[in-house]
Amino acid sequence: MTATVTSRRRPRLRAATVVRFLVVLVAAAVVFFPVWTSFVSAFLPSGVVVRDGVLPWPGSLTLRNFVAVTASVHLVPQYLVSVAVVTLQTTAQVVTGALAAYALVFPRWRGRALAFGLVLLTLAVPGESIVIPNYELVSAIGLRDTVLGVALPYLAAGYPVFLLRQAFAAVPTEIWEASRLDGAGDLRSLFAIVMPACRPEVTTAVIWSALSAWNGFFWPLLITDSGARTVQVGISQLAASEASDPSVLFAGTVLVVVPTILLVVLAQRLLVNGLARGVLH
Amino acid sequence: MKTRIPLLVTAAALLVSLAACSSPGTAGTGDRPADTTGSAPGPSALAKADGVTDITIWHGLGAANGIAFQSAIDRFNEEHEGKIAVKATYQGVYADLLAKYNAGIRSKSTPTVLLGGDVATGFLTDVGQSIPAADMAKANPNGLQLGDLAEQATNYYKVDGVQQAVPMNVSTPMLWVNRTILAKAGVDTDDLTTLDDVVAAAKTIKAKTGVAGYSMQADDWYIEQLTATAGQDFCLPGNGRGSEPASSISINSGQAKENITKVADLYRSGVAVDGAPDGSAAISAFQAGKVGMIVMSSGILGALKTGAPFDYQALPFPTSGPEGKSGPVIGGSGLWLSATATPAQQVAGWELETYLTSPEVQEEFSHATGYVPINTKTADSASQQQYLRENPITERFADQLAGTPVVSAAAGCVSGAMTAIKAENISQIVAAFNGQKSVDEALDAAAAKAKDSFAEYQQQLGN
Repeated sequence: MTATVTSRRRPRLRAATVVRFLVVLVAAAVVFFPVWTSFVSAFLPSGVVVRDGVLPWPGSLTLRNFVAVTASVHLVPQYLVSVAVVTLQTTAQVVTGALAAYALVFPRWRGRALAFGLVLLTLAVPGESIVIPNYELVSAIGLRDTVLGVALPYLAAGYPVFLLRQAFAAVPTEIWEASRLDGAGDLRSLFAIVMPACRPEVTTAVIWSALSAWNGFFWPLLITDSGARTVQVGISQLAASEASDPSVLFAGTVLVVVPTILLVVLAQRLLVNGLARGVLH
Repeated sequence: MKTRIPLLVTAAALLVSLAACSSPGTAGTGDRPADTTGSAPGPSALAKADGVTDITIWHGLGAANGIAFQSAIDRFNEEHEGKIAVKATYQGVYADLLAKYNAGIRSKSTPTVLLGGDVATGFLTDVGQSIPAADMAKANPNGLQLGDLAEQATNYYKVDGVQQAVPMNVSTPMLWVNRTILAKAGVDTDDLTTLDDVVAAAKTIKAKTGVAGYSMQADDWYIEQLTATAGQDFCLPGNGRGSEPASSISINSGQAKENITKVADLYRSGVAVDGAPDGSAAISAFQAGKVGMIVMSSGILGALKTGAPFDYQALPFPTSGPEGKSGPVIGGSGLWLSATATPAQQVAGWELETYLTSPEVQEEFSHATGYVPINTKTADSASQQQYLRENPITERFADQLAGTPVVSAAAGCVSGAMTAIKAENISQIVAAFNGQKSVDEALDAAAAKAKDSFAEYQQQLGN
């Protein structure tokens, strides 16, 4: 009897698994499609890209497009600037975010809720609406066309504060109190106890900050002339309205996208590790 | 890019109002030399300057165009070593470039020379941050001779009879045809001179080959062409070029309306295919042999050279208006000289403009980019004549520019409100092309919005 039930269930399970697999496969194909198009087109001659239509096939591969990118754009210095901006901006956003979140969760003080509300309010302000005041401020203090000038308005951001505040709020207050009783100061409690307990959320904040710093375009374009140009601004020079070469544009896109893909892949491992090793989970 | 248009328009409006309050047009630091004419310094300002005069130029030329431009700048620097040093900086596409220029006005960090897109002519004139080219030419009689430049191009940058900027890179709209498809459909290219010819040919192509007959970039520039080639001013009165500013557009009346309706019918009946706002779909369809004719800028020649393995040709933009009173409007960008730079920098900037528009540089730049040379003396060069013999398509660009009458309709509209108007127009036109709205409804809506935009812009100017 049991054997009969089992044998009847198995095909049903298999059918469900197949459906689930197919759904995931379709979803993956939808996500993978533009990545495939960009990567393959980057290695194809322009004429082939145009004639192949939406789904290019890697037939006659060439590196000519990448050579053309390097001829048009000063890639190495711009990559270095981008890395510097990402490092500075991400570190600052996560540190200031963690400090603010800690202050909003653990010590009890009057006006905490109002302060958090003000932080949330900043999320509703469109970034482009503060570009001109930022431009004037950064220009006035002589930081135009510098790495610091690119990063300065973004050394603190509302989203990491919000994200970390929510994560810290889930940490039992007893753990924080215990650390304080053991003689740890606020900074030690934050960096040695609270943050390791929230590693997945901290990782998410790092990824968010790093991606937004890497993908920044309009502000770096506005505040730099040539000395501190980021790679996103540099790559935009590959476009020249109707005179653009689509394959070269794809090659430029690949060069810009690879670091972000690597970041997400590597950080995903940290996320998983964090979930597995988090002291409270 | 599209998402930044509202911000850009707002920023432009704000800055126009600021400019209206304080006119910096006469500025320029340092002593004014004796040969100063009005606000324009003469050659002695640079001659008296000590050491190297550093100047900057901002541009929006990317890809091959940017490389060719930088190489011209490098040669200028070599030729003027020890006297003038130019730093050229790419500042994004024209909309980004203008946004940055706007920000620069407030923080007093604008460049000595701005290579600004044609559509910005009205705005750049109104903010009064530039010395009119006419004044510089008068104060520097041995420099750039404006009379040597194609009048069809200089006319675009002339506002209220005054030459404000100097055209540098000029493109012109063409009718690109796939001769293989046309031959299959039995269409003769010699029969494609008027818009009616083109509309009939597009229908024949679709009927006989099954391939789409027509496509064009979904950009307002082409709607302006359909108006200008009808001999009709796009903006009223007088395309905004007289003493009275533009206050309305005319696309919902006369021959322009008829032309747009004819083209819309091609889209609505499936004879035409969508060309996309950046023209990429039109170019791709043409290169893939999926459309017989496209209306696009002369600037696509480079893209076609690498990606169109069939016999193609560029024909003059089809007309629908009276000969001698109608013709296409130019595209491209012009050189604006800062009114706030020092006199030495201004003269150095004028020398740069003289160099960039010289017959030799224009010839070389044209070969590298596909832009039409705007110095008429370029045509006298033996190497240019040889090049045109070997590149008959390029010759057609030059012929079209030279054959365009210097009339109000072909000069195009000049108004600082055009950036906003173009964006609104195209959304209405696309709605008409894809059948979401009737053509009448879309054109009337575009005209009503344009009227509001003109009024709002004038209000910002304090008029």
